[in-house]
Amino acid sequence: MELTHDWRVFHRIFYSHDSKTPVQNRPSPIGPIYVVVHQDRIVSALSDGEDFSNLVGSSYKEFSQQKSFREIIAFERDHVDSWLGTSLSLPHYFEQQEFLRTQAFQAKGKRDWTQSSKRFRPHFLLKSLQSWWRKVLPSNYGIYIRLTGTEGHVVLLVRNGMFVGFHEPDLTSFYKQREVAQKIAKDIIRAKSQEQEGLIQFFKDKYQVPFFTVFASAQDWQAWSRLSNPWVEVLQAMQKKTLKVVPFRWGVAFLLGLRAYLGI
Amino acid sequence: MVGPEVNAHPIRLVVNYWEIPQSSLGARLEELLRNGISHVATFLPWQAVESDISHSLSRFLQAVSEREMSVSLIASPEVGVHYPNSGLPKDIFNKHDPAARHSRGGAVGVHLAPNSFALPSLLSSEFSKRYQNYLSRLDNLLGDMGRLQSQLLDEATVVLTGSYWKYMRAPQDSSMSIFGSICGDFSPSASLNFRQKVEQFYSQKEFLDPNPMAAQRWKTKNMEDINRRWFYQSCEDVFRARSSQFLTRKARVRRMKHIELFTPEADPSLAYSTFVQAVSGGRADFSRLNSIVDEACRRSSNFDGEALPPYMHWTGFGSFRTLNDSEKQFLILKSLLLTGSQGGGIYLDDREWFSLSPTFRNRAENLARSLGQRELKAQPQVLYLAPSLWSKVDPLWEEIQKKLPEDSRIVSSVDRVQRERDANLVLVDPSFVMTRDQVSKLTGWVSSPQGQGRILVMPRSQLYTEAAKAELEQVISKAERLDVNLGISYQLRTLGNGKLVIYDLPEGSENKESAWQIFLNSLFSLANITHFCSVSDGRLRILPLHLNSAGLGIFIVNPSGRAVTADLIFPSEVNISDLGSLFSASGLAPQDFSQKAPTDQVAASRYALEVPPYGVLPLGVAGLKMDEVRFEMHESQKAGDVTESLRSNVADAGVNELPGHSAGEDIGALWS
Repeated sequence: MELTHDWRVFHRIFYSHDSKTPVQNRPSPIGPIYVVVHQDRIVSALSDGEDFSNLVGSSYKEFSQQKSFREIIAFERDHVDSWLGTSLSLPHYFEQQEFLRTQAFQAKGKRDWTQSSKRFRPHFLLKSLQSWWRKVLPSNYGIYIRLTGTEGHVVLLVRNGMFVGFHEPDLTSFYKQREVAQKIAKDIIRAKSQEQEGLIQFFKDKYQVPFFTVFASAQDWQAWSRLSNPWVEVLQAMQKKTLKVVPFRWGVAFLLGLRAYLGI
Repeated sequence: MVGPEVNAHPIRLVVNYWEIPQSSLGARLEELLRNGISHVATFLPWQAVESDISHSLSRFLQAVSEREMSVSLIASPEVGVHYPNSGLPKDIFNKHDPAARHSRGGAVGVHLAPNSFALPSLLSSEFSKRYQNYLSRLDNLLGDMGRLQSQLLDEATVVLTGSYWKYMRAPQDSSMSIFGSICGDFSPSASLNFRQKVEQFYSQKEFLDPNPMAAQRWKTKNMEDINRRWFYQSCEDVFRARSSQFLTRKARVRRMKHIELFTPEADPSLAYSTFVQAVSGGRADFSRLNSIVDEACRRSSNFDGEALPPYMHWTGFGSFRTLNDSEKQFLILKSLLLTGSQGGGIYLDDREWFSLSPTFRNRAENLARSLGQRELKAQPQVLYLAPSLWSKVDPLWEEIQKKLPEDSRIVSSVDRVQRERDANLVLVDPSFVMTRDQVSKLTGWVSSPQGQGRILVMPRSQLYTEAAKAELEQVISKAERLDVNLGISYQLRTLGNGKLVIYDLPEGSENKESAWQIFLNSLFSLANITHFCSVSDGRLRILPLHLNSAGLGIFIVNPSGRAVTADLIFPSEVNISDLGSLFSASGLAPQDFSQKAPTDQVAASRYALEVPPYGVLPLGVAGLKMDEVRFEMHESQKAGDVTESLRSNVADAGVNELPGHSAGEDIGALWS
């Protein structure tokens, strides 16, 4: 049995946090302080690398005066309660989280966010798949992402721009079918395109939707994931053949180019 | 008191059977075995059990059995399960099934992947019917398995937990104080259930005294909060008992274990932090998670009067995942210390576990071994008896927390107190409804021959039945009385080997805090309770644990991201030693248990030390006078036991040997 939504894998591939940097080496906190407030009392306060637990229950007005040199983004508790309550009726965690972000963004207005360097940054690929690309890409398709140098791999199923499934695929039957599969698993980027296409056919047969496969080095992928627009680097990696998109389509390359050089 | 039972697996890796493709199940288990893991745990999601057409559970158990591994099967509905709606079937959420409501009337949301969802009302009749069907189905499944392939269940333990009850708290209140509201379901179906239960409870003969109209005073609006507390606690106890009954009808599991499982990432007090984290894309609220661990471990659940081992559950898909390795390691070690010392441990996602360094894993495993063998255990000196474990309690508890944060526990059962042997001081919350039976049991605990040095503290409140008042009057009628007024006035009575304190609740809010502090100081003095040691920097915490009842180990924990230099201050001159061997494969050496000080070290009452960021420093303490005091009290209790046994033997011999003498008769009167 495969999980439809495997959040462990999803986080590992798209939103892995740097957990290895020792505490002592962390940069001094400079990001905004996020606060939930009710009747001038602080209900919750959070900022990366800082402990604000002693602020809970204290006056927001006094706090904002003390920290006038810092960017503070405050939300009314009643609004947050309402958003959290509404989010419960949405089907998936991804949509629930997106809903909360949208509501927060709208409530504060764009101006409040301009200085914010630490606001949630969606993954570059997920953001693009949900952008106008959805109008030119098939309504129903899958993407298999394999990161070399790690055991990370994920199947992402997309329907009308929504992520209807993400999980680690079970490739056992594929391995059994093909001897080459072992080779592919070892060094997928250098494998012959015929062998890679075998994998695509396997997914097509299994999920009954068109499939793209992305083979990239884990190191590059993590570096790109930290950037808001890494598409130039992505294209360069494709030219250097350290990134492979199979099957290669000029249309897809055109989409990547638009993102990389025109930002659309 | 925690039983002496050895816990072979304080660290339990969660390997959920439905997440692993059948084809790679064997390889996954082999990999775990290669890494020295011979015990795994899996949740049994309700939906997965009901729709398991491919018999994946029995295949999983088969694979585990073939490899001679053991497994814990967590059967109760729980939060933090990597399954849609945490494993609850979809039809539970249809319009006819009401959702639970917290004390402020909102839905009780659990904000954790794979989806945030509202907890159902466990008291609705629709839920109860469905739940019983599920349990029957699971019972049949395990029963068939036991009949046809009994070897599959040989090394399986069915684990039952307290389920969702403890999470039914309003985030608005919990964010300010973690257990700062009434914990319970306020949905219409639950309220109906509550009214019926209140009617039923107060129709007992004891509440109709002196006349039937007397029962009305217990059901007034003013009593609503008080009644709700005991009601929700009794619901949780009944839920546990019924789950247990259903799963022992046909199932032939050799082992069934009740535990208290807590998932900090799903706690309502984290709701706003989770929201902020979603918006900012930042890390989890480490300090809040740390506080939740502290607060949860100060509450001791029970089943049938026995303390339940507490377990902390860290998922691989919640906010814990976003923490730095140092923060994760700190939370793992701290929760392991706090729960393992009470006979419990931690449940942890296996991928999270193996993402940590081998050195850390070795250290944690070695510490877990000592905790599991009960070489290290918590012996709380103070118990606070409250009507509900997860609801807010009287400010007196807050004051106790300031003085003895790691050496006191909230309990919710008089039977649990009755079996207590370690604590010297038991305080009763003013919102506790007192019946004759409860007064009898509590005073019995303090006046028993083993009650040397025990102190029972009861409030003088309106919540005593007439029979309870009469019982108390009778018990104290012959006891010597001493009236004291130190801000809070109280009577001190000697009961057998122990003492009973009956105090008046303070009126008005002026100087209440200092009055409580003075009162507590006098109680601690009466019960011979003082700090084992204190630390000069408030950022550090001290966890005192007893080393095989022969010494004291203290763990100094630094939950901050910076190194802290501080002084460790003891009430008398002591020798301290490094208990780093706890983290090594050899475990504690015999000399670590020794009370003797190392010959080359000079005793001192103040030690300077530096604790690294997110550090846990284990130290052994030798020569602490308080150990001697407690040891003497322990010996005195033992002597009391022997005296009582001797008295009973002499009485029996008298009945047998002296003609005309009967049991209970005054031998002196007969002689003269």
